[in-house]
Amino acid sequence: MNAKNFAVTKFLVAAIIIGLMSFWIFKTTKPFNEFAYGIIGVMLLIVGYVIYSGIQALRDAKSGLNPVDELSKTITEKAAAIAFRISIFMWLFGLFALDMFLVDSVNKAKFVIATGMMGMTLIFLITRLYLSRAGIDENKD
Amino acid sequence: MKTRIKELRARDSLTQVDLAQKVGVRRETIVFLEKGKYNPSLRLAYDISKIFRMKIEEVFIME
Repeated sequence: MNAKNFAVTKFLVAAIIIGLMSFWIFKTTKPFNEFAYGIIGVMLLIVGYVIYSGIQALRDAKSGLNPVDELSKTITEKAAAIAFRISIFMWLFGLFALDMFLVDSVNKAKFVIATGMMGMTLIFLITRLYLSRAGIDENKD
Repeated sequence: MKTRIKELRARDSLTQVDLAQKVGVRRETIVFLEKGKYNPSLRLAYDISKIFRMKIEEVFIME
């Protein structure tokens, strides 16, 4: 995939997320609570990150650079692995925490899934950003 | 692992972007390589060494 197609794919993903989020916001009949605002905040963070990486890819394309190289692939794989490992404990903690707070059974499943998905995404984004800044020092292993 | 990329770039008057373009990676990859914060694949090490017309072990030094 060349740099321009890569950037266009990123913008398309951002547009799909915004579209789905708008659909949810305008079609829902229930009033928004803190949890819903939290989810919207995380979604906006994701959209911001996707747009930022799309702009970066366009800049790389202009400079004749490859936006996806071996380091970026390694960072993505490592961030995904770390997010997965952390999320195992997060899911466990989430299930435990739900038993401590009173949440009605209809919303319980939605709450667990939404929190888990947003949590995993946030952990992935933070880890990826950290590794992008810090690099992967394999000499320390 | 240490690298002599920065020194060799200066010798050949290459910027980080020039080198990145020649070996098909992002500029950040060259930055991390120079700082010793990333161990390149054999293919990338070979490509970089070829740009500087040197052997891999002359560019990348294992400590």
